[in-house]
Formats: sequence, structure tokens, C-alpha cells
Amino acid sequence: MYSYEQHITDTATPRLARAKVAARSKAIRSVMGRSGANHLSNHLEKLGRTRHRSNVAHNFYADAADATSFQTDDDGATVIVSKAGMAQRYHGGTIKAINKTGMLFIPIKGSEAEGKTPREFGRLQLIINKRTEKGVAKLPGKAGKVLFALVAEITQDPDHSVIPDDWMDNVNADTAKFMTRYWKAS
Amino acid sequence: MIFSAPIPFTEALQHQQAKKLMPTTASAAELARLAPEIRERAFFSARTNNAWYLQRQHNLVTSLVSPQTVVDPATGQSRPARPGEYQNPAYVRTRLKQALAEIGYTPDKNKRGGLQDLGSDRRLDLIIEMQSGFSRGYANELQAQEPAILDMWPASELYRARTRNKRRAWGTRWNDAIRTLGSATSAKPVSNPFAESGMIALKNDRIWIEISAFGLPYPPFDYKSGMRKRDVDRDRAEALGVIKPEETVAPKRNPLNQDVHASSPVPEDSPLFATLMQTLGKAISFDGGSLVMGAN
Repeated sequence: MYSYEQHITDTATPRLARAKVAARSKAIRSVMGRSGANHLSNHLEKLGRTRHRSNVAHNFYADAADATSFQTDDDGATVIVSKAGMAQRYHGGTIKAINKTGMLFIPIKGSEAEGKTPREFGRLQLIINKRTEKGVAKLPGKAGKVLFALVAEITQDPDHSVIPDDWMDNVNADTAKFMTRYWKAS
Repeated sequence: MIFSAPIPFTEALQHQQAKKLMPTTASAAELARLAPEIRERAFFSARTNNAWYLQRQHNLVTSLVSPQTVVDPATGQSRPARPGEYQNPAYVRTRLKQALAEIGYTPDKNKRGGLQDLGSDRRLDLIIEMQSGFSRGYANELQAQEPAILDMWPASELYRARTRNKRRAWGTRWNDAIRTLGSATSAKPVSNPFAESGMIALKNDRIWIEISAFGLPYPPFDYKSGMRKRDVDRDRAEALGVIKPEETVAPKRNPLNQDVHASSPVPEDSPLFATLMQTLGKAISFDGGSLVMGAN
């Protein structure tokens, strides 16, 4: 009969305790926030290259990439895209007109109206079907080009592809890398 | 968790709010001679001396940088934006055109549509892109100054983020800056004069100021430039010899809420000095031999 005795030095508990303290530290939260902002910004830049049409002056996604930042608080980090329209793309939802015409002006794809507002064209002729609550806005005259489609409201589907699929994996990898460095140093 | 309620980009908003309005009759070339410290703290547009219009520009750009904040036209005070008030570049451009119409602006026939036409799309798009770009660039730079972030990503890379039809020779500019700075820079030269990536240096290296047409260490580095800075992690920076394993980068903060003193671009006794002071308006004074801009 054999007897077996094992002495265990508990190194895990103090290490875990240290890791827990480290995870709460401002340093880790900053690294998580910066990492999240970097990966999201890179993704938005890629969308800016693939989804942007060159005839439009302002590149929505490239602009969103520049507007990406983070902030930290006691619980962790929050990545922010400070760009009007970004939340609408992610969450989707219904947009209703609140202007005098009661209509949303949606630029016709490929037309000179893309990236512009109706007011930039001066006088526009509105043709509205009251029954369907749809219509068009065109330049005056018989041959006047149609620039905008008019609708009373529009419902957009959520588009979760504006956030990268591997976003959290990459943030976790960066955080783990920093923790390892922190661990080795302390 | 994904939030739908707006959260402000605080540092970018602070950058806008710290700026002092500087209505001026000076040209872009004349303004470029002012010290970067002054230009960084001033909100101006070349040959725009109407203070009301400049204030309108400032308010609208602030709303663009921080869409959840608007300056109420009735009270002049900042307040949360309501549905329909969130700004995008096209609406800012439209509102600036309306503001110009309100002050009765008409462009010189020969300048219509060009950069010297205050109401042209070219000029307004440039103002919107540059002003919002500076605020976001400043904010991003400030956020990078956390010691943990500098430890994890001690270097930055200059790279092309946006395509442009006409591309500048950034590789040449980078290499010229290295030659100028000598041993004062950690940057390594690149072989392609039109390099669009691979230009790497420590985050707070002097080269970022040297390559900038505006003397600032963050983008935009030139007019309509599609080049940006992105973080480079420690492993890559060490492999490239930009930083040694135990080396750290000291944070560099640049608070904007302080008075700034800078030397005058022209001598005090020169005939141009009086003209300069006149063009710069009330935002800047001359005291003790230097130009002074008070904190906002």
C-alpha cells in the first residue's frame, strides 16, 4: 500500500487576485478601449473603401472611422462612434419626416443629388401621390431631372455588419497581451 | 452591449470649445506663417472677417464633431440635439450657404466656384473636412497619451486611409523630415517616394510635426490629405528597431485651455507688422515682444 502526499503551494489564487485588480485598473480599461476603437475604426475604413460611391463628396464610413474613440469608467471601457447615422445603421428603425413638406427626400442613386440636400438645388418641383404618400422632387421644366424620391417615412433593417464579427476576439487578444506583459513585469 | 443613446466624443468637443474665434482678412498663406500653437487654438477661415458668419461656422462644425450637441440658434447656448438636428456634412454645407445669403454675400464673378468663393462647395467641403479633422485628430492624439496605451502601442504608422485622385509624395516628405531631424528621430526611411504605409515612428516623435503642413503632430497633415496615423504595437515597433524592449514613451499632453505666447512671423518694426495685427483682429494681442492669444 502506498501513501501519497501532495503539498500544494497555491500560486493561482494570488495571481488571480492580481489579475482581478489589474482588470479593474485604469490601464487595462484604457487598453481595452483603445483596442476596441482601433479595430472598429479599421473596419469602418474598409467599409469606406467598399461601400462609398466616388461621386459623393463625403465618405460616411471613412468619416465614421475618424469619429471613433473610447472612454473609460469604473466598469470598463466604451467605444464611441460620434457620427450621426451610425446608430441608425446598426439598429435600423423607422425615420419619419418632420419638415414642412412631410416628406423625406432620398437622393436618387447615381444622380447629382447624392451627398447633397434639396435646398442646394434652389427651386425643386414636387410631384406627390397623396394616396400612396410617395413622389419625386425634380428640377423645374418638362425635361427637369428627377433628383429625389419622396416618402413620408422609411424603415431600415438593422445592419450588424457595421461592426466586425471578430471585434471582441481582437479586443480580448490585445487585452490578454497587455495582461501578460503586466504580469511578467510585476 | 451596444448603446443607442448618444455619447459625446469629449476630447474632440473640448478641442472645438477651446478655440477662440479669429475673424481675419488674412489669406491662407499669411495665416500659415502664424505659430502652430496659435493656429491650433484659433477658429478662423482665410479672408473671413465676418464674426457672425465665423461663429455660425464654429457652431455647425461643433455639431458635426459632437452630433449630440447643438448650439441653440435662439440662445447661443449648447444643448442636446433633438431628432432632425443631428448634423451631417451636407446639412452643414447647406446651412453655411444660407448664412452667407443672410449676410448678402456674393462672390467675385472671376472667383465663383473656386476656393476663394466663400460659398462654393469646394471651399465649404474643405472647411468642414479640415475643421472636423483637426478636432478628431487632436482628440485621438490626446487619448493615446495614457501610459498603458503608449506601452502597448508605442509607435504610429503614417498610412493612406482615404483614396485621392492626386497623391502627394509622402515617402519623399517622410525621408526629407528624417534628413532634417537627424538623430532626433526614431523614424526609418522608406524606399518608395509615393509610399502609402510603412512610415513608422514613435508616437511622440518630432517627425509627426515635421511632415505636417500645419506644424501639428496629428492629422490632417495637409489640405485634403487622405493620410492618417494608426497605432503600431510594441512587438512590431521593436522588430523594426523603432523602440528597445525596455524603453518607454513619455506622455505628451497639450492642454488648449492656457494662454499661448508665440513669436511674430514678421519683425515688430517692419511695415508689415501693423497690417498683420490688423488682419488678426481682436483675438490676438502683442505683449512683451510676442503674440499672445488668451485662453477661451
